[in-house]
Amino acid sequence: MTTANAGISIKGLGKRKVAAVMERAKRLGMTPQRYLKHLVEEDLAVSERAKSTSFKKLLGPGESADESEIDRLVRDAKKRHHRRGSPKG
Amino acid sequence: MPPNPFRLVLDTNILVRAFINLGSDSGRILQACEKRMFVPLLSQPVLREYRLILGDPVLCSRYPQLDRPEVAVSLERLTYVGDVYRRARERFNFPRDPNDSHLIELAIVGRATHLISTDDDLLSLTSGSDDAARRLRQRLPNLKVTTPHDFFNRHRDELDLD
Repeated sequence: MTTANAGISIKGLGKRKVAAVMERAKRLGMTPQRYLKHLVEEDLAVSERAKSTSFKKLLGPGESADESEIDRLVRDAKKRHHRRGSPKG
Repeated sequence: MPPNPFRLVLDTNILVRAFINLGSDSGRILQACEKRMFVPLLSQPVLREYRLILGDPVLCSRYPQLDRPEVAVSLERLTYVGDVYRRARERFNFPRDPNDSHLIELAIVGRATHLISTDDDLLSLTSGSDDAARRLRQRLPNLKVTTPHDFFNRHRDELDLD
């Protein structure tokens, strides 16, 4: 499906999301095209940073944590998300 | 890089442990992946789960360090370090915990050597006698399912992980 609205046309993006894009662009004082360009540029910047920055620099050394608590929280989070929908894609 | 680096599937809690504490066994395994000592395997369903869990509000409220832009960048970095399988071409019926079947499917597609987990259902797969365990052994006879602690201790010297 292709959704077109005031000059933006994105295959697979529903009307609601297109409306949200328009709204967000307006809020930021950008045209929808400029906003989408901004999103793409931002994502590419993240990708570039990911390519060239080590885990250590990104995450820092961290601190010791209760790993059994992490496991429990992850298990609970998994259950919540799987109840909402399968992760398969 | 070693000639035949281990190919690892990391259960989601292992990644979370690593992101919270790079000095933990899980964190050291992640850093060894960055040095190409091991290859982490990824698929769309696994990446989706990593993303969902790392952004889980309950987890982030307990560990606010997960609620930083650097975490998303780190997840992106993992895709540069690992082998990403865009499409899961395998299906594996895992009745004991169907929510973890995507990890096993990735292990099969990516010819994993190790699945790193602390989940008892997964840990019992390579020695169990039920149908799922037998089917997995048939498809991946050399797969080892192990905890990060056991994996790290077993390989720390040979791979100079410290």
